[in-house]
Amino acid sequence: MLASCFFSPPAHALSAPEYEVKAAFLYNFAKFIEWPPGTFHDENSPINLCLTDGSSFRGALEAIQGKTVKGRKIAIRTAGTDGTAACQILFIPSSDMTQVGEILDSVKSRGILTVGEEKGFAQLGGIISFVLIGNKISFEINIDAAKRSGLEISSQLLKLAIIVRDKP
Amino acid sequence: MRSFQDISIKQKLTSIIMLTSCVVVLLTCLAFVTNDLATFHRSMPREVSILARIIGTNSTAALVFKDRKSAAETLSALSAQPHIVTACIYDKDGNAMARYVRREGKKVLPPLIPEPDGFRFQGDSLHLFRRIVLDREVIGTVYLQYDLKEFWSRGKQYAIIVVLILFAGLTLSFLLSARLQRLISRPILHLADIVRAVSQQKDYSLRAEKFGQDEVGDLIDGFNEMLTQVQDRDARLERHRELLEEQVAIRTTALRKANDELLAEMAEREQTEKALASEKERLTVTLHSIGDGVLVTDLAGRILLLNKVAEELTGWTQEEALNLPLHKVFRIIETATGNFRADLVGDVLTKNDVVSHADASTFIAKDGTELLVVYNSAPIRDKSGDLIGVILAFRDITEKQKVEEELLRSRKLESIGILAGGIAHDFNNFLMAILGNISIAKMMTAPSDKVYQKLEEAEKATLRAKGLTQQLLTFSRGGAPIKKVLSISEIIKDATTFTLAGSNVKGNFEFEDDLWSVEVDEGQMSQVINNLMINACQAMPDGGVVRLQAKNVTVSEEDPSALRPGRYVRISVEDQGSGISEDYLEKIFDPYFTTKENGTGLGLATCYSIVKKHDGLITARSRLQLGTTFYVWLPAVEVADAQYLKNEAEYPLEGKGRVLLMDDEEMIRDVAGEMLMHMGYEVSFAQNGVEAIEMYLKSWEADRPYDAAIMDLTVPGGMGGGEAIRRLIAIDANVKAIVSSGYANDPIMSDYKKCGFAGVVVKPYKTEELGRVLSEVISTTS
Repeated sequence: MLASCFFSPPAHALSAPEYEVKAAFLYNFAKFIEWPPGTFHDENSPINLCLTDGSSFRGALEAIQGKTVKGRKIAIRTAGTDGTAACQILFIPSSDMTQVGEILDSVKSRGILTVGEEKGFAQLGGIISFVLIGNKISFEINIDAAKRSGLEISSQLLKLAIIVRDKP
Repeated sequence: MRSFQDISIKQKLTSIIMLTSCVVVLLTCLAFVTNDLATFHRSMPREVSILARIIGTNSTAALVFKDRKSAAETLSALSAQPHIVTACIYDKDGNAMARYVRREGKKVLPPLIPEPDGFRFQGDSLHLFRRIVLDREVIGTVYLQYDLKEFWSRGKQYAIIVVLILFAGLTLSFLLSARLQRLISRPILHLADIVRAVSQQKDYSLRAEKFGQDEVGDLIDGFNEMLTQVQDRDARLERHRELLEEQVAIRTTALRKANDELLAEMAEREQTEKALASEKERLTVTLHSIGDGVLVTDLAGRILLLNKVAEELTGWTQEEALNLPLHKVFRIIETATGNFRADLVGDVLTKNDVVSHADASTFIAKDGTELLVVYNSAPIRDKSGDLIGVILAFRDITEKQKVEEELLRSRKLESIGILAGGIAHDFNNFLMAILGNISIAKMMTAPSDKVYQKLEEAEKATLRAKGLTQQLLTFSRGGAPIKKVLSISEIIKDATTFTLAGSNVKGNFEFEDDLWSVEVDEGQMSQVINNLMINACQAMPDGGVVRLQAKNVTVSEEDPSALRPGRYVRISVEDQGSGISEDYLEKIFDPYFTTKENGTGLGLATCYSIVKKHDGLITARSRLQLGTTFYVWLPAVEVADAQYLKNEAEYPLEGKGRVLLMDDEEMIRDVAGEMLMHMGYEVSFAQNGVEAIEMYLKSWEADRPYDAAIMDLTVPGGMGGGEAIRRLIAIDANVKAIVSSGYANDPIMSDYKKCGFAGVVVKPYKTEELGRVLSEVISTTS
């Protein structure tokens, strides 16, 4: 029922501010996530935020391009063909939902924070997925997925999130 | 209030412990409380700050994601902190994102705008702001308001706890100290008790108990040691004392015994002595009480005892006479034989009975004085009747003999007096005739004539004869003086000249000028001077000078003499004779006292009697070998009474008037009549009182009364002047009568005025004397 409610307004119907908020969320998520040791090459290595398709979302992410989190700059990247090896955060927009299984398999246990734009992403094995509750943007966190990826998510963040688990 | 010094050591200790523990507890508590509160005060902001930080940390995500709900949830956890009044989380723009307000209590809202980091105490709360930083970026602020009530309530709690602890501590310390102080105080108090007991009971056997080896223990040891020493010394002393007492007791017993024996002995002896003494005293008293001299000798005639009278009479004392032969002490001459009696004891022993000597014998005393004595001697026998001695009693009869002789002499004198009295009347009448005729003869003769001088001498001799009669009468009967106001100097001169005529004694007169007059009986006063002069002459048998003085003397109240205060003429008669010893001086005025061989013992006695009758005084002062002075004080007459002081010669021998002359003697009538007629009076004669009264009555009735009547006092066998005057007064109350008599010592002569006479004239009298009295009487208006 809840899912139907979330889905009733179509995701493409989101306005530009919605993207900006989600971009801010992405930036803020980085503040509460601890990547496994060895994730970064050195102290100056940026946090790479990878987009599968940057057509519609890229513009919103410009706002956080170059911002620092824990001393590291946010770098917007496009998830290329070379895979997602250099990504720390991977945003999967609604348009890529069809390829979710594949994408998730490729980043499995590689210490990459996967954030899905579409509700249900977390249940599918993604770590964080945005949800819209009322007109307020919230998010879900799959703690099993988080554990699998080797990321440490701050309890602060968990406290705000809707916790979901892998479907059995 | 008692000072701390005075309270008992127990209380002192308790107080000190309590005070100390109390202070310690209090200070400890205060330190703890202060520290706790200070710590609390200091730590509170930090704690609150930590709390704020936790909240901040916990709300970072909420802030970052602007999740108000989550922030509110975070804040709601503060409900577990009851002291947080209010809290608030602000976002980085300062907007309140979440608020927390304590449910209970006053609702307070957090401030709208956050303040910079820090805290402040305001009101009852601590206000704290803390920024929330995430990744070096301030993402918001936390505000907390902390309630300080806890702090204050904690303070109160502490105060109560401190008080409780203090109380508990005090109680505990009191209980503890009350028990523990005994550790110190008990030995000291015990020692004090022992000391008190020792000093009160003087029991040095007491010992203080020792409680420990501390200083008090040492003290107690020292004290006990001291007591032991005292006790030892006492014991030694006691032993000494007991020893001493024992010795004293032994000696006392011995002494007492000796004393008792001595006392018994003494008592016995005393008893004996008392008996003896009383016996002896009885004897002595008896012997001494006897008025006679008593001598006791043994059989050999040696004197054993003299009584007091015997001592006085013999001149020997008991001690001197003891064991002397009787005849040495008791020297007696038999009057009959003139021989010494030698063997008086022998006589008694031979006769073996009382030998009496009633006739006066002459006894010669130790100093040679002769006494007349009578004596008896008798043998003395003891109880068994054996002769053991002789007693001799003798009596001095010298005085008795003398008195008897004096009596005889005075009787002789008396008889002479009686004789004189008897012949005086006639003798005076004869003298009157002689004197009267001489007087008339003188009037008939010119004073320049040799015959006149002879007559004058004859007259003087007659007057002395009159004085002699007077003296005889005075001796025999005394009599009141017939006083006239006179100059004493004339009397002294006349009497002295008369006495000294033909003697080798010279009279030396010293009379004060203006000598006061005296009122004296001329004859008696002459006699006084005479006697004193005779005395003086006899005191100076080899001749000498008698100094006669007369002075005016005033006797005042203060003078101790026997005289009444007033004016006196003092006559002194001073000789240069042998003087009179003091013993005799007291007695010289006594009648019959004399030291002269042929003295009557009446001369000075008469003087004394005469002077006394003149209200005067006679005294004597004498120094042996230097002389004797007699003083005679005679009262001086007042000037007013001096009207009589006129020389007889001043009166005119002429008179006028009718005179009645009564005398039983024709001789007198003739002479007196001639005298009167010669003077110019008309004279009538009467032989006795009856005749005189008849004649007076006749002339009275004829209205030619007599101007004066001269009446003889004594008319043998007829009425005398005494009775006649009473009758005449009955006829004529204004009768002027003169009494005339040869008995100058008749009371009427000296008291004539009381009997009604106007004047007095003593026979024999001269013409001048009669003329004076008569003219006085006639000229006096009654």
